[in-house]
Amino acid sequence: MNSQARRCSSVIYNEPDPLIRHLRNHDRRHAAPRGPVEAGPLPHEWGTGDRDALGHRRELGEAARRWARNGRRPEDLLRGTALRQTLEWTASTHLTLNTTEREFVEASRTGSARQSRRRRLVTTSVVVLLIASLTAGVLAWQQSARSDETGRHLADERAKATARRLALQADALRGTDPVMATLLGVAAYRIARVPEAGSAVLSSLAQQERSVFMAPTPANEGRALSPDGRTLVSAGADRVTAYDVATGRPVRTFTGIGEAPVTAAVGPDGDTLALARGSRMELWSLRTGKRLGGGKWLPESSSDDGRPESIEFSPGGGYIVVRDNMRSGGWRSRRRARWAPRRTGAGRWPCGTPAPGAPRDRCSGCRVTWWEPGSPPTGGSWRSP
Amino acid sequence: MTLFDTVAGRRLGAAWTVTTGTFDPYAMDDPMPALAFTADGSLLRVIGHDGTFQDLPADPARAVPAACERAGRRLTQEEWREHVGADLDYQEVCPA
Repeated sequence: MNSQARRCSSVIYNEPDPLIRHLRNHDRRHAAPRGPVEAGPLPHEWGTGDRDALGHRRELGEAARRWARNGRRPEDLLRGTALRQTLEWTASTHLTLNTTEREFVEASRTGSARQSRRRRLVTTSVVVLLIASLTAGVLAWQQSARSDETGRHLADERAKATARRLALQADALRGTDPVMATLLGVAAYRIARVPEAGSAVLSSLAQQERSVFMAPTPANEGRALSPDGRTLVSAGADRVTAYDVATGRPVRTFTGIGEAPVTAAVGPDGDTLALARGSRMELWSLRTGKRLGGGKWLPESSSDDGRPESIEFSPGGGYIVVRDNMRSGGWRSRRRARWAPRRTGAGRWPCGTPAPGAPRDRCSGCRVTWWEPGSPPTGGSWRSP
Repeated sequence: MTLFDTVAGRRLGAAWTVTTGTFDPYAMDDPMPALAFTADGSLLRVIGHDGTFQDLPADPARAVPAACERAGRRLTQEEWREHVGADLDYQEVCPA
């Protein structure tokens, strides 16, 4: 390729010189070969470019004719890259288009413009819809977040109410079922840390009762705890039953004590059971269920068949004291023989020093302190405070 | 000995029985045992006249393990249903 040829081609494509005008005016296939003949030597690019233009022209012509022949249907129009190339080519070419071709290009351009307008419209609609749905989504999310919060708040309030109710239940149960009360207090505190629940937890620690055992014979008045506190003896209606306090299960039972109500006490050995009624007292062995002995705990016989107020063993187990109203009697438990403190009148308990002439019932509220005698008792082993 | 929650304005658990040694309710000089909270506020220390002391729990969160130990067992699922109800799922009240 020489420099002359390059100059020539640039002249042909960029300068509206007479030759090019001539070519535009004579839009014919044979014009191209004729040009170079008139212009002198044939430049290679010139011929190629014009052949391309002619190819385009032929394709355009065929497409236009097809379009016109088939009833000018929009789907036969040019579009996309073909349309863009054609438009570029018709803008720059010096070839003249016929009416059908011009109409075809024009129809293609307007069709494409309409299509892209429609496409823009669709895109805009889609964007609008997208924004609308996004907005709706955000609103719904906010709504659901708010309702979640409301739900959480409600659940929180419900938990607090349950915790308060449980704490109340725990406090009500504390007297009869300390273990359940403790568990319910802790449950309340675990459900919600309301002040009532915390208070229930602390109350269960402050309570001195660890558990409550209910003897299944509530009619029995003769009840006594063994000195180690593990066994409860319930006596009455001709039957004695010993219960294991921790489990609530009966461990021993025997009959033969008589129907009348008794007052009971268990000795420090955990075996001797003292039962008193009327003016009489009996000793039984819990282990064997045998009667060990018996007798009167008051010198005078009493027509009253009721049971005395209390009966107690001394800590060493050697003595038993029975009290009933203002009378009291002692019992030497080993010798099975009755003994009495200093006799004041007819076995009345020396309670303080009543003023002369004071009514007897002054003594009924006095507390009793009792001392373990160091020697076999004579009068004066018992002292009032 | 009774503790009060001054924030909630209510009694903090039942009253405690404390041993204060030779306690004479009519003694006018120093009639009370000495009282002090521990630094974290979870215990109230009560020191009797004879020098013996007793720690009373004042913080329910710290008292829960002791309460569970005292109960000696766990709340069964049946007891949970009976007392708590079916609204709340069973949870271990006193885990072993």
